[in-house]
Amino acid sequence: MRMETEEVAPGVTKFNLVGRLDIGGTQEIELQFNALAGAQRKVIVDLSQVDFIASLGLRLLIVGARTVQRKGGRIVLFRPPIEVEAVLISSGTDNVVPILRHLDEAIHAVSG
Amino acid sequence: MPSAADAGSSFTLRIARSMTGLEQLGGWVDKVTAALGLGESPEYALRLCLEEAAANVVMHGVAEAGADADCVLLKVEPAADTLRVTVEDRCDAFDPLGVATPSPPIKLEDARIGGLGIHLMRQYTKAMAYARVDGANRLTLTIGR
Repeated sequence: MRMETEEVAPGVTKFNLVGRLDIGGTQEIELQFNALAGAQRKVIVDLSQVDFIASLGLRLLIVGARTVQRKGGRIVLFRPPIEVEAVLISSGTDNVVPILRHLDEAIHAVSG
Repeated sequence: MPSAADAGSSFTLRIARSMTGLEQLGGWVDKVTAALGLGESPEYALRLCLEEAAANVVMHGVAEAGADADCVLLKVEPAADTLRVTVEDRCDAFDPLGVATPSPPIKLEDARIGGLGIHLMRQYTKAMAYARVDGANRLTLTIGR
C-alpha cells in the first residue's frame, strides 16, 4: 500500500492511495495519512486505485475525516471501484463523507 | 512460524492471535485465490470475511492465561458453488451472530470507528453459523463462488 499527494487546485490536496486497504495496507499508511489529514483543510481521497477495503480501512477514513472536519476543513472520497464503493455504502460511510466521481465536483465540494 | 497447508482441496492457516498474525492473512488469501482461480467478487468476499473474523478475535477475544488461546485457525474448503470458511479460536465464548446490525450514521461524529466487521460479513456471506465446540468458538461462513 502506498500513498502520494498532489495539489489539484490552490489549497486542495488529493491523497492518491494505491493498493489494498486491508489490515497490513492500512497500517502501512496510517501514520502518513493521519499526519497529512491533520495538516490539510481541503482534502480529496482518491480511491480509484484501491482494490480492497474492510473495517480497518473504513476506520482510517473516518478518523481522517473527523480530523479534517474538526479544523473546519472538508473532505470527500473520489472514484472508488465498485467493490470498494459497496463497502462504503454498506457501512453508511457515504452518509457522512461524500463520494464523488468527477474531479471538478470534488474540488468544488471541498472548496466550499 | 505460521503453518499453512493445502490438504487435498482445503486450505488451512494457523496465525498468532496478534496484529503480526493478522498481517499474514493477505498473502495467504492471495495464494488461496490463485489456487482456486476465484473471480473478483468471491475473492473480495473471502478476503473481507477472513480479515473481519480474525481481526475480531485478535482485537476483542478474551481468554484466561494458559487457556491455549494464542492462535486463530482459519480454514477454506471449496465446493462446487460455495466456499466454506471456518474461523476457530479458544477464547471465551462469543457468538457474533448475536450482535445487532448497527444503524447507519447520519453525522460524521456519529460514525462508528469499529464494530462494523460482523455487519460487513453478513453482507458478503450466504450463511453464517456459530458453535461452541470443545472449548472453542467456531464461526462457519458460506461464501458464493
